[in-house]
Amino acid sequence: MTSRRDQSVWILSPREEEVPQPPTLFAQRPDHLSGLDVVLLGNAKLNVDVVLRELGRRLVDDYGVGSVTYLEKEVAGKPADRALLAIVRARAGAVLTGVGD
Amino acid sequence: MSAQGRLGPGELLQPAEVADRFFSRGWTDGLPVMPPTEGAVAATLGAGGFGFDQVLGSVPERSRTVTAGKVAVNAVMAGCLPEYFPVVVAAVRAALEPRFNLHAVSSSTGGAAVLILVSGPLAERIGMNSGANAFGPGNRANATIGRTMRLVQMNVLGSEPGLMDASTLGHPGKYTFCIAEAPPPSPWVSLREELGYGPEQTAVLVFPGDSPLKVANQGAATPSAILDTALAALRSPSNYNTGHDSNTGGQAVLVICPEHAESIRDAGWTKDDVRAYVYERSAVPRSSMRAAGRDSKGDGTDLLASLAGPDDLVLVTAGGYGGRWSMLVPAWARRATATFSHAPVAT
Repeated sequence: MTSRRDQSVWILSPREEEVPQPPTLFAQRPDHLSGLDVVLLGNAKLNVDVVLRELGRRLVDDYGVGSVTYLEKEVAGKPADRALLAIVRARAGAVLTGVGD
Repeated sequence: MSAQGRLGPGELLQPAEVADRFFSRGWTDGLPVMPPTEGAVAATLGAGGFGFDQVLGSVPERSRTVTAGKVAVNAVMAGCLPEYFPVVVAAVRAALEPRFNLHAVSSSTGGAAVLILVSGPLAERIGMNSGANAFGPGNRANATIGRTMRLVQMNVLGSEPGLMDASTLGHPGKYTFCIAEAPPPSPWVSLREELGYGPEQTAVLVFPGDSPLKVANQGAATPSAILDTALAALRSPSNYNTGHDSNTGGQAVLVICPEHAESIRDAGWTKDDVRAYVYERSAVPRSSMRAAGRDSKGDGTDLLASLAGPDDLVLVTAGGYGGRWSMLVPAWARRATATFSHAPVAT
C-alpha cells in the first residue's frame, strides 16, 4: 500500500507576494495648524467638495489655519498627476486628502 | 517547505487536499480548483514558450509584478488546458496596460469584471464558443480563460473581496466573462482587423465591464430600430457613465447577435455606420436623468453624454440563431478612468 506521504505532490502557490519597497519618507507633520496654508485635495467623488469645504471652514474657525485652498483630482480612479502635486507642494503647509463617497 | 530546486514556491499536498486548503486560505473564487502541480504548470508554460519568472507586466499601485509562472499556476487552478495559455497571457498583458487601470478596475465599489473578447483563428482551434450561449456555461475554454483572469486578480494582485476588491455587489461576470468573436457577416471586418491586426492573427480585447444589459428586439429588421433598442440600454440613467457629472461619457461593448448583424448588414450599413448612428444619438436629456432620480450636475447643458465618442463603442458579433437578442456591456467607469485595451496572441 502507498503511504499518504507518498501520494503528495508539490503544489505551487498561486500568490504573488508584495515586493518590498524602500521605506517611504513621510512628510513631517506640523506641530500646529495656526497660520498654515492648507490644501484640501478632493478625490473627485460625489460630494467630496461639500465635505472638504466644511472641513476647511472649521480649520479656519477652530484651528486658526491661515488659508485654505481646495483642489481636486481629475479622476477618482487614478492618482493625482504630477502637475497637480507640484501645485500642492508649492502652496501647502499641510495637505488633507482621502475623502470618498 | 523550501522551494529550492522547485519550479516555484509551494508545498507538498495530496491533490485531494488542494481545493479545501486553497479555499480556506481565500485563494479561490469559491469554486473547486484543479491542483497546480509542477508538471501541469510546466506544461502550461511550455504551450506558449514562457519562462516561470518571465515578467508580463506590473501594477505599481499595488507593488505587484505579474509573472508568467504565477499566471500559469492560476490558469491550471481554473481548469485551463495548456493550449489556452497564449490567450490567457495576451489577456493579462492587455489588462496590465496602464490605460486599462487594472488596479482601479479590480478594487472599485462599482464591481467591474474584466470582459475578454477573443478574435481570430486560434479561438476556433482551441474550441472557444462564439455561438449559442456564448456567455453561458458549457465551454471549457471560455469558462476557464475568463476564470483565470479573476484568479489572477485575486491571487497575484491581492484583490480579496471586501478588502482590495471593495465591490458593493460585483456581478456574475466576475467569475468568468469571456467569449470568442463569431465571424462577422461579410463585408464587415473582424474586431481584430478593426484594432489593426491581420486577419490571420488572433488578438484579445479586454474591457472593464459592468453587468450586461439585454438588447431585446425580436420584431424589427431595420438597422435604426435595432440600434434604437441598443441605445435604450446605453442611455439608461441607471448606467454609471450616463449623465455623469463630468459629462464626458464612457465606453461600451455591443455584442451583436447574428440575426441583428445580418439585418444591419443587409441594409448596407458598415460597422462605422453603426458606431456613428449610436454615438450621434447617445446623449440623454437632463430631464430623463431627473426622472430616474439622478440629478446630474453636468456642465449646464441639457444633453448629457453616455458614450464618449464613436470609437468608444466596441462592436463584436457573437451568439446563436433563432433569437434576435443582442447585448450591451457598459463600461464600469468613464473613459478618463479606464479604457479598453488589447494585445496580440503570440502563436
